[in-house]
Amino acid sequence: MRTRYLIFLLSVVPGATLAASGVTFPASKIDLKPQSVTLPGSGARYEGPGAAVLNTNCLLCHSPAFVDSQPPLPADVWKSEVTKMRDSFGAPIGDAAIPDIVRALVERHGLPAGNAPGGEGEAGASG
Amino acid sequence: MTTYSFNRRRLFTMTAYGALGAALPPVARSALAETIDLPFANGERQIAPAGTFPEKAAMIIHRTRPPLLETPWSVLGQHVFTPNESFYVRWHLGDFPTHVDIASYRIRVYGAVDALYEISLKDLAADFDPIDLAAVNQCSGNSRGRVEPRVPGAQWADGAMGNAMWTGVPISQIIARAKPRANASHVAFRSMERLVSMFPDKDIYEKVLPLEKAMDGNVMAAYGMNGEQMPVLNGSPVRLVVPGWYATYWVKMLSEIEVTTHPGEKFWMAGAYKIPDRPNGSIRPGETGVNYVPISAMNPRSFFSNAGTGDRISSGADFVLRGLAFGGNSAVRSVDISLDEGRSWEPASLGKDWGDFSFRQWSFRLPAGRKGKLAVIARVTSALGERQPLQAGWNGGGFMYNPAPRIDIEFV
Repeated sequence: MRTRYLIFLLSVVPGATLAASGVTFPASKIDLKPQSVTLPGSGARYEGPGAAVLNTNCLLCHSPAFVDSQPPLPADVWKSEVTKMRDSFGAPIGDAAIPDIVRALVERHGLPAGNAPGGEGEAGASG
Repeated sequence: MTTYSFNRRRLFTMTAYGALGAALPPVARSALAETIDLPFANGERQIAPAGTFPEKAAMIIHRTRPPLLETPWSVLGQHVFTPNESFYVRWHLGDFPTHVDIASYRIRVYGAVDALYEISLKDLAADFDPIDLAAVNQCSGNSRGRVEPRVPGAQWADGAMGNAMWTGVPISQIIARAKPRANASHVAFRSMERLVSMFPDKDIYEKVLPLEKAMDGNVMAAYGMNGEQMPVLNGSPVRLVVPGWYATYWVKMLSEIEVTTHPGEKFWMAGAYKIPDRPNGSIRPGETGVNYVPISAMNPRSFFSNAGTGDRISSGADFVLRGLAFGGNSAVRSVDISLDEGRSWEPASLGKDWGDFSFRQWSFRLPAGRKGKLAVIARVTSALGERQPLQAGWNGGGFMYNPAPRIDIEFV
């Protein structure tokens, strides 16, 4: 049996350093101050099936969680994703590596049940 | 549909689930949940404790780098105005400033104009008339994890959206000062967000609006979010706000405004964020021969805030169902509730009207004495007459998901 809970918001949110000498918007009384923040390090590497090929080709641009959170997808959908990373985002992936990467992704995620048509194709999804 | 189960093997910090409706008693625990189960396959996600990401409370992590952080529904559903520290975060490219220098920040205004110029933040404060406008910022792919058949992309539940009171200068004022030429037809907005530096500098985040849209008086260069400077991760110091349109157009860290004579040919207009040129952007899965166009206006959506499928609710007292709705690209005309699988509908009561583009709270009283199982559907109709479908549409990008939500509850 499950019970639902809420996350409690801490009233103090650390992480931002504010310094003096800002800009005040008189009409709206909003003060802009210099901000300096630190983002958490990505750290993690792919583990498990296909990890070596993904660590070599994918970690440069993004952390693994995004890939690991994807649903099972047909191989041709994965291929269009990998190709997009190269053609649209400049990832240094050679033609020869693409089948290996696609194989690793299918191995990790499995294929969709049935024969579900997939993916973004022409739409070039994002968001 | 809009509540999630936290993994009980973890420890929790808790507040009252029933703050607005008391479906369950408040429970107190001692530490933050570390994971959450979103309501679809492979939906377990880590929770980043408050402060893990700068200026942010506890957030659902979809990706650390570049950050994709979802607002937990337990927070989102309880506010008309989403708290800044809980507002979702979505970056496309890995290289964006982590230091905001107020003194040197400039927005360049140029292109098909007779009077190009640069705006400092001091100019923005001193030289223009600001407006306040409440507007929902929603990722084009919000709720993508619910799309069937599943599609690639960020597998969000319903928390890739938020509502804020934005303060800023209408783009119409900024562009008027630059004196656009007669052949001007579009405006390109560019961010300081770009690919990490080791790659060819082929991609800067750029979105393009038709000139008429940019000049509508609502589209603004915002520097205030709920009365404060916005978090860096939400685009400080200045972000484009495009009320009624999907968040892909709400360019963060706005640095360039170029008046142009074409609709934009770069990746973020010509490649990504395109939808089938069909009603509600919807096609049959696998359908081919479809014309694709850039996504633009949002469709209407509603949500349950204080009850979810599986809830057992006491029949000993009236129960007031509560939720949020927005009309997409126009106001909420009505929110209607069905207790009989969509055969008949009764209007919900609407809360305070914060403007056409804001969240609006709704409520619907279920009298005491009801026993047994009950399916409830909530459907919003916009002022433009758009109505949520009862069945989800589909497109390969997982965009514009908006079926009327349904919950299955039980009165005991």
